[in-house]
Amino acid sequence: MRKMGAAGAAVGSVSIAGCSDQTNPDGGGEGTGTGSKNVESDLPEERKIGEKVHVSNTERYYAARYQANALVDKTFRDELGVPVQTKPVEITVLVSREQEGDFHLVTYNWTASNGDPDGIIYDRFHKNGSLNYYGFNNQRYNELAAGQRRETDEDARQEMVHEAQKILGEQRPENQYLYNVTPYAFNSDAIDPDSIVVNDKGLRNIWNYTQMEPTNENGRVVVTNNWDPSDQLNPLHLNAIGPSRNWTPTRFMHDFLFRPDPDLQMTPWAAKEYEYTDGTTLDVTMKEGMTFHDGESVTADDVVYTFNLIMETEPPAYINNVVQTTESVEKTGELGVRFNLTEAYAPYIALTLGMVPILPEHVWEQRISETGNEEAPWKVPVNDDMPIVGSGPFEYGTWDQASRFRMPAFKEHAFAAPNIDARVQNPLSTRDAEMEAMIQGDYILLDYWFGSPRQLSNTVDEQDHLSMVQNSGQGRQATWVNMERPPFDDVAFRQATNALITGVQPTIIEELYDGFGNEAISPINPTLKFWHNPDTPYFENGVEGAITILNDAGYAWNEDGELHYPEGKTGE
Amino acid sequence: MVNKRYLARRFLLMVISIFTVATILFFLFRMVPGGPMSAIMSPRMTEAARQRVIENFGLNEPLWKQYLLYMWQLLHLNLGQSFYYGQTVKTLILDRFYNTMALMLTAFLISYTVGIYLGAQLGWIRGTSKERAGMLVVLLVRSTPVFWTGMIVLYVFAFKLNLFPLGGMRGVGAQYSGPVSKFLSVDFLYHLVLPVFTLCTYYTGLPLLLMRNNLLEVLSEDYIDTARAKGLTNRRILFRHAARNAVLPVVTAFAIAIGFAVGGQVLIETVFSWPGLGREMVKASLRSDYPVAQGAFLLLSTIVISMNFFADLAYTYLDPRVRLGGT
Repeated sequence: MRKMGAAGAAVGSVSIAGCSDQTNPDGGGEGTGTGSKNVESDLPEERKIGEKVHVSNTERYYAARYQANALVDKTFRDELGVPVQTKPVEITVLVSREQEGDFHLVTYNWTASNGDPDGIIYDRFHKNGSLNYYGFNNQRYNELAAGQRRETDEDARQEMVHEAQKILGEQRPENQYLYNVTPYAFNSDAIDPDSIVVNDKGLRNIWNYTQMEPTNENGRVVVTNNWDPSDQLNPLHLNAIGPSRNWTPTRFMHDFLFRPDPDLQMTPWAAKEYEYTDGTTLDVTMKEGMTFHDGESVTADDVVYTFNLIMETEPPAYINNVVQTTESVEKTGELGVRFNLTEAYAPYIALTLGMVPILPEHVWEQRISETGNEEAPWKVPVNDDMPIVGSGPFEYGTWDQASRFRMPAFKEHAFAAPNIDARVQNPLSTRDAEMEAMIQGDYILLDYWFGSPRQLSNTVDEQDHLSMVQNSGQGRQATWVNMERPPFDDVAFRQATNALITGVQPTIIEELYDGFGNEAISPINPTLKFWHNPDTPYFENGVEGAITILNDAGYAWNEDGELHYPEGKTGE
Repeated sequence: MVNKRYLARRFLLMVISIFTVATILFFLFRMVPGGPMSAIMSPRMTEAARQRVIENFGLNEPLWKQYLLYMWQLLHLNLGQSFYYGQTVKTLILDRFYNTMALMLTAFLISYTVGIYLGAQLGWIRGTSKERAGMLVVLLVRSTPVFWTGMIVLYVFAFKLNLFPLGGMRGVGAQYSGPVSKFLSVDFLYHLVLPVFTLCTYYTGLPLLLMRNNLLEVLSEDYIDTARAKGLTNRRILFRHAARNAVLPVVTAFAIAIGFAVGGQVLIETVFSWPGLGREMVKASLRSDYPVAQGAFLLLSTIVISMNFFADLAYTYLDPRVRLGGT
């Protein structure tokens, strides 16, 4: 880790001042000593920093996150004299306000959840990134973000990603609260603990569900609390791709050419071998013996059909990773496919081939025609009369909408036949009921747990038949600042914000998250070992560090402790 | 007796009311901050893709045009397609509607049957210590928040005693041959017990109190004295003469309650993980899934308005003295 405290680096035009001997015990004058505020009298009203809005989830939605926001905002108000107000809103309102730039700070959890850094490096912070709602625009950074996409040499790409993190660390468009550690419980009387595979998605990963060994009858049907999949059983649906969505059934019912392994390295799945013949041509040979759930063989024709269908109809969920990146797809043999890329795109295997399910041509052609959805196959309905036919390790069984979704194991799967007989998503609407279902043995494992980690941990300790595993996902909880609105347009203020948040980080982790979290410095989680830069700079010393940075940048406080912009600058 | 002109006027009024509600709902949901795109946008969707989705949903059209299209489709009983689920609203709502009605109708039928009977009995024994004790219990139960009762019931009978399921509508392994068997199976009835019991403890209070109060008035009527003078049994006086006249306001309450049953009991549906329309209405509102939210609330409003109308009609048959719309 590379700490940047009171003594530190020069970033852009802002000098992060070193310690000064000048102290200011009276709270007046122009002292710039560490933690001593630069207090001035008769500061003009137009320089006073007005109210800032911190858009947050509601306490009901995520208590610890809301409380963390409230803590940060209180520290802003009480210690720095910046009137930051926590504004809890429903999740859809939060998303909408973020997209419209209607915030000063906005906080939530986010992960690209695909093992590749591109979703963070490019989408979030490149000037043209689809998720850059913050106005972050740094020339060198833009070059790196665009460059890492084209760089197919992994080591060279890693270097660029590391440098990009360094800039993000210095510029601080994002300030991390923590890397969440999430606990998951399972019934160790019903499932052999040695067969459990945990990855960044906890237990709801295909490696776990195909390798779990039941130890009794109860464990043959794994009942879990995952919610109703109704919005995305059609793999081309708007919500078919995305970490915050319930895409587990789609991931389990279909095969993909590649999947991230438990260590998040992309590994061939339906692909047997692959080779880049040049920067924009990728040849893939598929495994032999694969069949769809209806018994038909999986061939290169199905892969070509799937990609052509996507490129012709442009389902919105796939425009980014398929339509814009793929020039054409052609069959080179019964099991051979050639992908011609529009330009070199390093994350193609992870973000394209790892995301596109192999659809059976004989089923989809008919479905699309029957339902008249030639222009929009993402609208083809899925239900018990028109079930999904895929080739993945689990089949579509029965679906009682909003109530129960049963997925029998596809025992004929060529290389990943599950050991269990079926997986059932049977959601309960309260956390207490979910916990009790684990205790009573109704649930075999928890796909998700949104309750208190400590409560889960304590329950597992009390119940002999339960065990717990935990993991740090790919994500982080962070606050993003709107750099198009003062004072966050000023890098010094952003760095001061980072120092403040770094200061309260231990409290957030230990008190609000019961210790279920790790200190965070970079947008890229250390889980992504290869891409995470442990030397990402960050600012420390909490409030004192923030005061020092603000003093040096020319900010001043009046006698009432209210922070004012540097001379010559005014704002909201 | 029902005056035909009155009937036609009431019917017209009903149609106007539904039209007004549909209009209000249309604009109300569009005033809610957030918007549908926030709930359905995939995180990596580009601006071009976003625009494509907006156009596909028709949200790029001016509001007045969207409104006219909505009303036109409504006239053809087409409620549209859910933004979030991608399914037709009709299919979506009907699925949840049956679940909710199975729960609420069972609860209301039991509550009103028991409430009317107990209300009549309490009215008949007015002034006794039994009546006072009965009233205390009724008022206590009626004042208890139904979700709290639900939580206690769930805790005792499901969490602690393991006698009933923790929630939901059907067991993990339950299989059904068709939609009818789904709602008549032992498995379903087993899941129905606790939520219905909870709802009954709450809903029995209203018909009981109404019945009791009405009966007290009826019992002071001359024809009751006449019935006594004729030497009729208490039971016959109570149920053949008094209760029949006292039940009228309860009929109105029942009709309105049936209307509101469509909206379900969101809190009870949540406590017992019941996949009903009430929860779906809340979710649709939060997601700004306009078609589903509008469809569900419109269904609720239409049934409430219709049931009011039918309650008026039912009056004329239960009490020949009542004439709607004058002579």
